[in-house]
Amino acid sequence: MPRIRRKLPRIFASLLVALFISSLHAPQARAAQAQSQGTPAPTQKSALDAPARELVRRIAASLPVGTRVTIEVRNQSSLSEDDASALRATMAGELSARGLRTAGEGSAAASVTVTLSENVQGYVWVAQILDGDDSAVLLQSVPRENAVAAAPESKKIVLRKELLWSGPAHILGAAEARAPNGDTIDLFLLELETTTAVITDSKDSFRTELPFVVPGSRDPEAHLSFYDDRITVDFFIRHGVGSGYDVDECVFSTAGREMANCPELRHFPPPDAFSEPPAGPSVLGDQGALVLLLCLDTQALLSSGRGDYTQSDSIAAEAINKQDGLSSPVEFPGPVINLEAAPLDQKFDESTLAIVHNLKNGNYEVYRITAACGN
Amino acid sequence: MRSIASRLRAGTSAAAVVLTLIFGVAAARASTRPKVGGTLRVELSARVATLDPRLPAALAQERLDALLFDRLVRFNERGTLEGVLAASWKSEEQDKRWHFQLRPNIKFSDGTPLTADIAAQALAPILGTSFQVSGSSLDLVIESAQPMPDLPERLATGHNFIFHVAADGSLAGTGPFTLNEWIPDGAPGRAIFVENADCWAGRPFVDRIEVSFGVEPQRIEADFEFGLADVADLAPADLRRASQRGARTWSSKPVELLALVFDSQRPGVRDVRLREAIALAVDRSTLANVVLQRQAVAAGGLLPQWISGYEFLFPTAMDTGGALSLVQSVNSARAPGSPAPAPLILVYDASDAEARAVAERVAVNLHDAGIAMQTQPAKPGAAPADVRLVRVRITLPEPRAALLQTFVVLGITNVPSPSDNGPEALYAAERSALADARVIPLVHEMESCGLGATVRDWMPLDSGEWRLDDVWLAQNADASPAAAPAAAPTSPAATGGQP
Repeated sequence: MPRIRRKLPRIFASLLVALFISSLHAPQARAAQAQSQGTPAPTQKSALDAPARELVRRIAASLPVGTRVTIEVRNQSSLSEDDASALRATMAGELSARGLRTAGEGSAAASVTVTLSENVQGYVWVAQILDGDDSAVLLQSVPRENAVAAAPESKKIVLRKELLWSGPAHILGAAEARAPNGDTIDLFLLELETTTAVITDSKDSFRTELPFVVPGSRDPEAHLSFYDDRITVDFFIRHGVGSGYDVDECVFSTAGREMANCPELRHFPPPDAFSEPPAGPSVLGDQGALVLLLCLDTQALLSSGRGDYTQSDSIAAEAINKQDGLSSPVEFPGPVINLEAAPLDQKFDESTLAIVHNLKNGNYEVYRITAACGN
Repeated sequence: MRSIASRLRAGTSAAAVVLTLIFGVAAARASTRPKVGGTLRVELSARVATLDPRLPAALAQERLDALLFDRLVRFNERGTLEGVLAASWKSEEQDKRWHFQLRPNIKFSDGTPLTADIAAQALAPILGTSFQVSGSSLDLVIESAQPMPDLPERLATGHNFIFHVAADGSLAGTGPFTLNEWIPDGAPGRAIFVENADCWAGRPFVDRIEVSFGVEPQRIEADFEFGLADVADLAPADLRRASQRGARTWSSKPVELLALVFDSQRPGVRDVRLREAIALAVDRSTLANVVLQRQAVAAGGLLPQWISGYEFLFPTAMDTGGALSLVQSVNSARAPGSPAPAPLILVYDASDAEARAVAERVAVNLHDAGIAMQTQPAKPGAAPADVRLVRVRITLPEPRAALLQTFVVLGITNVPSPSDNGPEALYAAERSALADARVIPLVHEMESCGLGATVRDWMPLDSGEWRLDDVWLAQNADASPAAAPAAAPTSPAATGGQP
């Protein structure tokens, strides 16, 4: 059993050494490496353009060519006003392109009111067309996509977030496979399908089941870490107060796209068998925090907020031994359910991945959080 | 240094374990992790006579049944179906036969393994005789002579629970809790549920749920105010007061339709112009904002806006002038010298205080439009009414299934099924259903409750379905108002409920 258990003291010591080693790194080098790369999620604008043109095509088909029309676009949905404005422009342009003449109010023969509405499944766009005594209503459903949020600026450390993946699958963890030069090769995801855990990639080009049945849990937890063409998956199963954990660890080969090694389940007793929680900074309290980041001569911890899973959340950097805020928070549309520990690797430890449950659309999202030195 | 770094890399994942153990938390876990333990106290105003899913269920019973039993499928927060006891499902023969493949290795709380045969025995009496339900191994088959395109959606709600009948007649479920105490006849009634540690989906976070039901609204309000109830089924006025004093409250999306349903065979309401006049005369805004204390929104359509996306196309504004004009045209068509028509009779559910208030307000609106109406509670054996005030709970978040469900409840049979699932087809069907004004939507009402300061991860569905297995309780020290989301001793596990 207890391969990991035997190693624990040595690993803990290694962790402290890592902190020390990392603190010696030149900050300039890190700032230069803070540029994020990867597979960006589709933007809202591109996803909405085609259905906007399709709706205008249907509107135009119901009116004689050359009709003078006014068009009004009302936004009653969760779309941003920027998106709504872009759609107004797209629709007006498409009307002209289809031979209808847009006109000022009073001089037009027909009026078109487009309401950007939505229901539980997606957007519903409604066009009400009034042409003299004739009227018509056209409705069109449009899949809801995800916006890329902007990153706020900050203090000593600037945190930037980048949406890498979004979808309805229940994502527990994620890891970016990197080339030796730091370029992202692929984003690997750990999906939970009730009692089956699946490794997949962001392009969904393969799916490999972990070779064990995931015990039922209402708060499942797993962590992924990448190193040297391998992703290690640690699956945590909690048993309640005072019962400790089970940990399933599997190693997945990113090169061969196959499971390399999955030892048997290991049980860890409650934490107090090792040590009492240290009286550390607040971020290491109940909230558990997390990721080791370095900037200037400071070691930083990224931590999320203290809300529950019904609340929006944020991530901010704090000094490891104090409660000093080192960055402004970056905000998320739902709880951060996982922050992947950054690889203890000299090249990549300015960025980490956050898994967020977006409460607005129900999707699970993977963000890359990148830290760079501020002014 | 490189060799040290290499060793560190190799130990990265194990280091996460170390952090977890050292700090007593997940090393890379965010937000606040749910905590295990504690007793959740729930007070409901509705009375619950039984927990047997085979008997017709009201909302309160369904909520309690969901603690004991699972369904085959359910809706998730995105309004799409996901498997619960069923891992997959498919239809054959134009939706006349459905196969549900059950998950393996699931046990009822009495230790009996879940099989398709047991599931079939549970569902057969619930679904009724027009369905043939059978099972072999883990393959559950449901057949009907008629196509059932919406069968999975139907099975996701209502009392379509799977249970096992033990030799002594008691019922066991696969749900997150087991029944420890059941006193339905008390004043109030009382049920105690304890955690099912072996639940296939993981044990729930709270150890125990104590439910009082049939509780007087005044007592619920007092218990909530003094911290004696964690989840309190407050009446609209009490909810507003609780909210004003800073207590946490929660409201669902509008999920209940209150509508007038006419018996168009009755002479008094046979004329469609009179029914259209009634539709114009009702002040829905006042019903929603005053009578129901902003716990409702004016309804022009059958489906609420959040489900259909097009409800705004149906008008809701009051037009007394238009109503008077229609009433005059109806009156002018009567033979000269004929007696004035008798007042219309509107009946409402006698146990529904909100329905009574709404009915009385509607009568006032109609009086202003020159239509005489009397309201009275529904009684067995009473003379037939001209119009009924009907409450329809819209449990299906999928628009097509929700519309068809609403048609069934309201007795709308003269409208063909929508040709597809698109909003245009649904809008056409709904418009057609409302065209003869036999049904007049009034308001869509929300479901609401008060939440104690220690309640966490209160994540019900938009449709109002509670998820008490997700709820956990913060320790008192964590339960500061700032920490609370801004919405708002363990007994031995019983081996099976005996509803």
